[in-house]
Order: sequence, then structure tokens, then C-alpha cells
Amino acid sequence: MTRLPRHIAWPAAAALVAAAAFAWKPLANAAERRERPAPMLVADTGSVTGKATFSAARPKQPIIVWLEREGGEVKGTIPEPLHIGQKGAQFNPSFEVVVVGQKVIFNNDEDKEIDHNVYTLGAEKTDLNIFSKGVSVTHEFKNIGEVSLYCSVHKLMDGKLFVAPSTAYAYLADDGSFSIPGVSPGNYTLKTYQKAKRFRDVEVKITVNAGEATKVAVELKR
Amino acid sequence: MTMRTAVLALAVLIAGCGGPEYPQPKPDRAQLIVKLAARAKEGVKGPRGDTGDPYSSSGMSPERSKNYQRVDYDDLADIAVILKGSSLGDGGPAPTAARLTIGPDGPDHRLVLLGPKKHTQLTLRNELKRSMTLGCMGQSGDGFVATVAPGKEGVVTLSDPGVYELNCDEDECLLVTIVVAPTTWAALGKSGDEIFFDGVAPGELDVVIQAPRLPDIVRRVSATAGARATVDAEISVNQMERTK
Repeated sequence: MTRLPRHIAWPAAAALVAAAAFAWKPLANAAERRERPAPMLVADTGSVTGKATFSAARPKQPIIVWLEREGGEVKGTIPEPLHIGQKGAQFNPSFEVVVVGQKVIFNNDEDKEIDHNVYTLGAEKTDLNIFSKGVSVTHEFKNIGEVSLYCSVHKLMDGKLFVAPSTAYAYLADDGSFSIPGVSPGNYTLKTYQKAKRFRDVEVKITVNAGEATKVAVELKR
Repeated sequence: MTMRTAVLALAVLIAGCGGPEYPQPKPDRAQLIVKLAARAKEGVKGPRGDTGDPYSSSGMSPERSKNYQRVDYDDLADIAVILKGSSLGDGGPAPTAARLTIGPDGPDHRLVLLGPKKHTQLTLRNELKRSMTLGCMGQSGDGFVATVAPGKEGVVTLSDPGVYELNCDEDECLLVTIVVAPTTWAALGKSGDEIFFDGVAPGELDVVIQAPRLPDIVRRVSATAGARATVDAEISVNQMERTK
């Protein structure tokens, strides 16, 4: 391997570090995560980009495009645990996408001595029991799909999660566009999930190649 | 009062408290009674219906204290009971029309039941001071979107049996389950009710009980000609698999 002269190597390294520092930004909040899901840590990856069109007015609630890999998922990054608060007898956030294997921590962060229960219906049915102020309960969702969150004590305390098989998902932007970076090469089915279902969900078979952007047009119809 | 009179009076009292009287089943048909009971989660403190939470009486804003309303399991309404079986024909009591009103306190039902016929109608009434856009889409692709002006009504139809989730553009929390039953053998009740089905074709049946926000219950029952079967349905999260 040819070594660069020191007077070139050090400035080049410094420039690389500076560029990386400039490009890197911590994922501070849910809105930011929606724009830029964490890529899978696979060396040679491709991406999936595209735009969704709608046959009628689009609801204001989130729509997700997500990938299901033929032959099983590639083991990728598991995002940091998601914390869901319960202050004010409300799940906060009331909706989020989580990945199979990602920990979800339900925190009873009420100011006063109020017990909450969390139980789930939908893709995964489980009861996380009753827990008091200051107590947290952790759960890993294993089944892909929509999970409804409820508290058996408080009748208006509802939330939802969508459990995706991997970080290969994206929220549709306002103009319907989406981009899923860092996708391991392979054959996939691109699917849609609508929090407020108004259209038929879509499935599109795609192939992702390393170093390429696979473009997909998604038509959501009634 | 003699002891004999007292015993007689007690017997009359007990007989009078025996619940509703049902007609005898026809020789070639079966009857079915589904007893609905909802139970709170084990370990939940406080009497039923009592808000119990310190927030509810602390002078907080009505919006915030509203969040702390408890589920009253003894008065749980909008419970759908649906019979499923290959031998069932028409003639069941499923509603052919339903009405849902959206008011300042939210929807007046958390679950709406419709029969399977194409002409069944759901009337959406908007009692708010702004337009509401309501919609849903089922697994089969059947669904609707309707914008209802303030103080007005809209009528929509759903044909395909299944479970739909009504959602709203203006209020993310407004969710109502719409059940379109696969047969006309379906009825709505509330906790403590006995749902009575008469003239049921004999055979193996699944009794499906769906309550808002609670896990479904399915009970297998044999409907025998000339006989009455009783199904106890306790609706609760207590039977769910516990993670902790």
C-alpha cells in the first residue's frame, strides 16, 4: 500500500474528520428521525427512493413505506430504545415506528401517584401490567405490523406503534417523496403502512443493488 | 309473619329476581344467550367508576382532567356479539342502520355494528362547529371518506364484512371501530346484558365478542334444535399473556 507523505496525509485526515463532523448530526427528535432513518451498517448498500401519488386527498396522519426482505432480514443496526411517557394519561409520543428487537421503555412519568397499565392489541397482544409513578417497563416487540397501545385504567389513553422488520423504512414527506438509504442488496417487497387508513395498502417487488438507487412509484388508491 | 310465610315470600322474591324470561325454543331451532360481563384489570385500585386519581379533583383544566377518566367496566357499552357458522341463514337481529354523533366530548360510541347487507347505512352527525373529515378503509378495500359540515349529517355505507377503524383528519385521537358482521346474527349490548338469539339454525357456532379497546373473545358452542345454550363472556385484559 502506498503511503501518503505526512504533509499531505495529516491535512487530508483533518479535512475528512471535519467533513464527517459537519455531516454528522445527532437524531434529536422524532420529527428528525422521520426524515432520516438510521441506515443499516452494511458495507455495500443501495438505496430506495421514490414518490407516492394519491387518488384522493391524503390524510394528515403519517404514512410509512417499509421494506420486507426476501429470505429474511439482514442483521442491521437496532436503534436506541424508544421512551414513551405517560404523563397526563397520554402516551408520548402517541405514534412511532419501532424496529423488531428495539426496546420500548414505557415510563410512568406522572407528577402524582397515578398508576398506569399498558396492554397491546394488533400484531402483538401482551399485557405489561400495572405500574406506579416513577416505574418503567421495557418490552421488545417481535411481530411486524401495527400495535395499538392502551391503558386499562384510563379510557382515553390510546397510542400506536408500527413495528418494522428493520430500519429500512421512511415516512412520506409532504410531497409524497421518500428515501430509504443504506439498504442491503437483495430482493424486497416495498409495503405501505397508513396510521389513518384511507387507501388500499400497496406492495411492490423491487431489487436493490449495491451502489444504486432503486426508484419506485407508489400509487395509493381507494 | 310466620316462618312459613317468610319462606314463601323469599321464594317469590328469588323467583322474581331470576332475570328475563325467554320463550321456549322451537323444536327445529336453537336459542343462545350470551352473558356479557366486563372486568377491570386485576390490581387496579379504587371503586368502579370512581376517578380515583388525584388529578381528577385537583382543580386542573377540564381538558387535562378529561384524560384521567377511567374505564367503567360495569357500564362498558358498545359490545358486539357476532355469531359465525356455516349453517346460519338470514333472519338475525343485526342492525341495518347505525348512527354516530361526533360532539364536544368526542364520538358517542367507540364501536358501531352494522349488518352485512349492502343497504345498511351509517349516519355520521357532526355537532361540532367545524367540518370533520372522517374515513376508513378495510382489508377488502371497502371504505369511505366523508366530510360533514358543522351541524349536518352524512350517510355512508359499508358492504364488506370486517373490522374498520374510523379515523378523522381534524382529531388524531378520534377512533371508532366499525364492525360489519358477516351474518345477520349479530347484536350490540353492554356489560351485564344478556344477548338473546332466538331461531338459530342448529350446528356448531363461533360466538365472537368484540368490545372497544379490549381483546376479542371467541367461544365455540353447539346450537341444538329445541334447546337453549348459554355462553358466559368475560371481557377483560386479565386473560392476556403478561410480559412482566
